[in-house]
Amino acid sequence: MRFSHVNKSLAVLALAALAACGGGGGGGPAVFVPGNGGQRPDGSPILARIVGVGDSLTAGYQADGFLGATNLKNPLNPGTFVPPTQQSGWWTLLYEQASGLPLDTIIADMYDPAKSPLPLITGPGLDNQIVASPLTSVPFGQFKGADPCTFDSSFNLAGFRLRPSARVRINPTATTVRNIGVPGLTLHEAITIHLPPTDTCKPLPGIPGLLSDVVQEESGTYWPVLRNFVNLGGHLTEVNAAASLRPTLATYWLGANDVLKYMGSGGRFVGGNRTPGQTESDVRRAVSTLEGTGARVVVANLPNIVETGYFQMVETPKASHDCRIRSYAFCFLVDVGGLPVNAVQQIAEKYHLNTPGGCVAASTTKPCGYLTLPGALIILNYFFQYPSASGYADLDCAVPKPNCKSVPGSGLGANYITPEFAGKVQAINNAVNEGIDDAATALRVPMVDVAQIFHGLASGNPANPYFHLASSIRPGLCCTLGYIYEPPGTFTPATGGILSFDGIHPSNSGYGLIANAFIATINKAYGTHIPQVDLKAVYAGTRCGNPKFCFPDPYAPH
Amino acid sequence: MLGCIFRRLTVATAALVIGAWSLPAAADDGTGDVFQKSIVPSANELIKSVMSQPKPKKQDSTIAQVPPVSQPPVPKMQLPGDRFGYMVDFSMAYPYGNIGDYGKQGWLMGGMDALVSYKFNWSTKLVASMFQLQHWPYGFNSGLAPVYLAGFQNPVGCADLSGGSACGPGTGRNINVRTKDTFGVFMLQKMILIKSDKIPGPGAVPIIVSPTYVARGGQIGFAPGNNDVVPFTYNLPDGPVENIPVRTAQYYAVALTLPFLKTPKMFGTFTIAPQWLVHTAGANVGNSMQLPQVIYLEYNPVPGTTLFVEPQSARDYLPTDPYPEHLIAYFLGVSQRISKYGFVSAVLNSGNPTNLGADGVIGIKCLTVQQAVNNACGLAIGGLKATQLQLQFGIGSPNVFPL
Repeated sequence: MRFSHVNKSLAVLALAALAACGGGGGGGPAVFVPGNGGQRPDGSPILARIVGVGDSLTAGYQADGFLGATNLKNPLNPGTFVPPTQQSGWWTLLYEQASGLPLDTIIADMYDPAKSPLPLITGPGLDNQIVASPLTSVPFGQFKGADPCTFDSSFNLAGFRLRPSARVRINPTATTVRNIGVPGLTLHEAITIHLPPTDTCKPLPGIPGLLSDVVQEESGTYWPVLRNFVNLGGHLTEVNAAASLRPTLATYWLGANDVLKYMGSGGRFVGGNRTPGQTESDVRRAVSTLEGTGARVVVANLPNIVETGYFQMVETPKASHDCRIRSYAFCFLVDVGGLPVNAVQQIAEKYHLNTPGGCVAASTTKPCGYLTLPGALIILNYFFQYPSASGYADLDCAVPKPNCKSVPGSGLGANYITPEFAGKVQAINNAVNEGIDDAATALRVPMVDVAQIFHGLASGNPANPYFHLASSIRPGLCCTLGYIYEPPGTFTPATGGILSFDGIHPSNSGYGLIANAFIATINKAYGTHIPQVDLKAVYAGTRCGNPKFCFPDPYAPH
Repeated sequence: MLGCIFRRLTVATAALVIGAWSLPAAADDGTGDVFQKSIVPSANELIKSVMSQPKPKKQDSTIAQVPPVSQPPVPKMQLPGDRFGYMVDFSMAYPYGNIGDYGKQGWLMGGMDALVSYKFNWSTKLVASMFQLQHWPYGFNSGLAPVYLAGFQNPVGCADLSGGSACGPGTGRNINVRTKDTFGVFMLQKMILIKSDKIPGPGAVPIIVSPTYVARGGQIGFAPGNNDVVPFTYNLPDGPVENIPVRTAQYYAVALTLPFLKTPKMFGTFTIAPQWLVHTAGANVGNSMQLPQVIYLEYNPVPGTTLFVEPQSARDYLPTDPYPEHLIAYFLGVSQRISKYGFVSAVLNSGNPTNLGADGVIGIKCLTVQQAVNNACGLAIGGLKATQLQLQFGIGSPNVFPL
């Protein structure tokens, strides 16, 4: 019974992936043609050279993967392709909209190694992209398997070192790169580190996993993105690299990893920015460096990360409709996974995740308890793998299996978030946002209020402009913030459509929302007239006529 | 990527610290030692010798009309000793203070001192000497030190320098900072006599002016090259990690030594010595004149035995120092001649900079995680307090013995 549920879900996601990579949708291209005949929308010199400074969100990271290549076959779902991520990011959309070129042209340029402003990553992509998978016990899987370091002759490892990193780039010597978002980078790292923290993909010998794990994956993308700026030598930082491009307009969006690294370590890793003052100092330093080259700058704050799909609330949703709005462990584990109705509450009780008096998401005073997405997946996998075992997976075991050795509390951050800890995470989230806001105010640079976007999406309030906008992309179907749930009567799992499979990075449609927020802010602050992204076309994959480049949002329900 | 990271974030931050970091071992009393070992004793010897001379008899009144300033020096009032002088000794030292269990493993490295001198005339002498001092700085192997990783504002962990697990399993660390500093001192000593009939004894007060060049280097126990080149950092959290010779520096100084006490059994001098670095290095940010001052007081209860005390306000300016260290130090010693040419002495010295923060390691900075594994993290150093007892066994020409 459980398996039948899952198999149904797989079918849907497999179809989604197939549609995403194999066809361009049935609506035909809805190409934006600028009113001024292909010139910059308003001829503004501010838009002449747009440079992106940031982390994975700016880089165009999705579903735990970083990919710019097309035609990469999905080994977990034969006949489908792994969707590229970089060209679906908000920065790419902004760049395209501001280019003044016909969308068919500029979108094709994004994939052209000789013209692309993106540091295009070739297949199989960096890290371990989550793709639809009808062959596994959950509706998706990481196609590089358990050891991504050695997959495809150690493709990921090549990214850790300067010279070998040429292998991972489609355009290793490109001089056209303008998006230098480095996945995993923190606020302070962007202005200080001139080499990745580690040069090995494998855990370092003799070091308990945390520290090397924290820095390992960002290290694998540092050189692939910044290898073209090695001439800066000891002065190489992400911000200095951006400044060296002499941007006319620079987008600056960092800070998420300061919060996420703290969260993911259960609070044990405290190296990132933790106070408004630290954040303001870093933002001011970065923005000043960029402005020093004559650039106009736009910054952005962070969403409340506990409002993303990575965090599965343990509270029971009041109605099935709620599963579309937010991510509930109940919706994923019970509705989709087929666990008993009281499973989530039993698990929550074991790890002290319950809030009997109720809770408020993204609150520091009345926070909620969560299972993380990996934690929920562990429980689901265990449920399928050990169907006769009593109880559920022990989330405090290094390798959850029956009678495993548990270290109480060790799963905090990785597998579950207690209400108390969620409050601390939110406090840092707030501190970083306060620092970004302070810096933006002091420097008089416009700020994109991404926090408000996600807060609005999480509100479920039809009157909220962001919720209204997102849910009208495909009324009744897309898009909302819920992660995996089973729409009533369908017996097929679906996502809300805002987030990609990793539960944190947005889908194509989600990035479209963010791009439009940037565009609106830039237009208002600098008097430009960049046209908004057609969100319905992003969702449907009809922004251009080439189905290889424009495909239906692979992470949204169709 | 982040999703993948999250799944793996399960272990303690202490990771970083398990790697060994290299420590610039160091200690205080750098230039203070120069005074105690070289400039002051040599100048004192000259002064004492002159002041021990009997007062010359008064000349006939007709002869006495000649202005004293134009008179040639009194024949006996000259620098002591032969034209050539020498001294050599071997030393051993033992550290004291809060140096942690690892530091309390016994005697420090052996050392030696040597000196040669050449007297040009009654008032001018050239001295070349080298000496070595051993120490284990206070605070290096006690307490906890925060560990920084490049790119992060806040420490990512801590290290238990006592070797324990106060920062978590595997975070204990002991570091061999047995340090031996080697000084080369080259000075020209010029005696100036201020004569007056009112001055008791020889009727003159000798003042020694010593233009001096000091070159110092060092050897630190854990330095891979058997020298003093170790990773070092400053300006946490963003300062660089550099391999620099942390005990190497060169100075110019002009020492002025004058007596303030001379009795049959007691003797005292005051030395002031404007000094400058020959060049800045490492963390040095300036090179303004420094003005160390030394008081020397000795007591000779019986012939051949000398007890002395030497408080100092010295200055040290090593590559690890953004600004010169203001050292308040003291030397307590006893010296016993054991034959015509042999001597043995014991010196207890201690000192601590007054213008720096906490003693010892105040932070550890790793540029990369691999540095933690490869013992290449840099140490941020606070004050360098040290206390040690040094025993010397030597021979030499009597006129340069530190009696």
